[in-house]
Amino acid sequence: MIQLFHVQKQYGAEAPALVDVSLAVHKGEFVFLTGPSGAGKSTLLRLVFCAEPPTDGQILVFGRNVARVRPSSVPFIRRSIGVVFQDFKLLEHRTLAENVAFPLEVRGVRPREVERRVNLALRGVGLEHRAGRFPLSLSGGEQQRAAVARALVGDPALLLADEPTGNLDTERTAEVMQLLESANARGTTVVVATHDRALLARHKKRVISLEGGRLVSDGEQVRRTSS
Amino acid sequence: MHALLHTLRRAVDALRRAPFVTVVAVGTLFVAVLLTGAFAAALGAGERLLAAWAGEVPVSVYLVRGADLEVARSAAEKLAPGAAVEAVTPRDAMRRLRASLGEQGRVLDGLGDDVLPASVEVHVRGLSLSRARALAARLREVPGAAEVDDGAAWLSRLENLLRQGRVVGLALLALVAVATAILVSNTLRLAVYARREEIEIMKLVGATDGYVSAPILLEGALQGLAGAALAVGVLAASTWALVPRLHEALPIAARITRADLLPGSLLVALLLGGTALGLVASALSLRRFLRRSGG
Repeated sequence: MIQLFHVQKQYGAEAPALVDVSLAVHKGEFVFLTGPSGAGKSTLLRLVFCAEPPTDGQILVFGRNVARVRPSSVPFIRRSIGVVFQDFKLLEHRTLAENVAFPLEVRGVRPREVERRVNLALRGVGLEHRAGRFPLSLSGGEQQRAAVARALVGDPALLLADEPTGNLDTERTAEVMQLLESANARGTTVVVATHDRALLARHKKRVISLEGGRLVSDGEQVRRTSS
Repeated sequence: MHALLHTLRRAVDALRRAPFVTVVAVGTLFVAVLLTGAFAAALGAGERLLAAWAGEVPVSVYLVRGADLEVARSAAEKLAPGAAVEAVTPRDAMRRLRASLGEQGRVLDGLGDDVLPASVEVHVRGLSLSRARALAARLREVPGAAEVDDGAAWLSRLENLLRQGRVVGLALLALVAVATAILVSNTLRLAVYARREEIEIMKLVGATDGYVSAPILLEGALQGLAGAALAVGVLAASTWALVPRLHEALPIAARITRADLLPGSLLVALLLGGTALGLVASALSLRRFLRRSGG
């Protein structure tokens, strides 16, 4: 599903954000990507959903080398990837239903089908009664669940979540994790970036650790980089 | 069809959601089209006014002494059908000369009334230099004609003036168009910038550049059309009010009509131009924005 080969990312003269990272995430897996702030977790996710290219190395997503992909192909790769952002990225002047409908509308899905799938997605995250509300009138937990609904509404093959529980209390964190695990149970590959060690302890999944842009451990197998 | 309706709905929705930006964009396009339209109308009116003055210059046929003035007049009428032909006796010619000299007309006191030749004056309204020359060539056939003055010196100067005026006018028109295009582009860039968050999210969930651009281009075109329609309305109302006053102030302008100042072709050009200006300005702003926001 995702394969990284010696991936490097450097922003100007700053210290590299990623150094010689190689890993693979297989179809149907649930993986935690962890490490302290600045470890390179968000950068790695950004490279996978083609927000920017790597400085060096290769990244295969669904078998396509996204490091070399034409800009015009990027939207079609993204349509198979759902992304949950730490800051939700919901449009405040659109209702919850309109926000969740976005990924379907950009694909040209017919309005009736959009409505049906948005209702299903909102019901799935327990927000069907909030469909007509605007994001700022909702709690942080509700906004995060809406962001999960938007990421899942298009039935993506891959779900990337960047600190999806970062701003939530324990109860809301459990709700969001349950949604991600349900998606995984339905066949979606899930990659969650988090620095929350308690979350890793509660959910026994594969854990990939980054530190200073380097991959320091992967599941049970610890791989120290040479440099 | 579904995609087209969806794009139109998104464009109208975006205009409705950002009324301030819409008003500013339509206002800017209105000013741009109004300035261009007023300038084009003024240029056209200037040309027509000069042409009207040119039409006042007669072609004169001077006769040899003893020639029959009445025969010459009727021959001139046949050679210049539809033109106003006037027979000028030597006495009339002297009277006119005295009148034109005013106080200094007294220098003519010693001369008799028949020293100037009889002539036939042919008046054709809106006569161009080439037509005046062709007419003069025909009038040489008038019985008893000694010399034909086609007013070329005056008409030639006038035509040069018109040509220069046209060049300067077109250069100024191009300058106004470029300046307004820059102004409109900057205003519409604000409109695109106001939607940066929405564009970013659309791209993150898999929207193509075409999907992002289509409603924004349509918005630009609709804003251009709205601004141009307002400008055309104001120009038409101003022309309606101004033309009668122009007739009162300048008798020579009596033949200038409202349609002369604001012809239908100019109105259509302004509407299409305003729409195109909105479209192009949107495309430029969008291109810069999409290039900056990346894949």
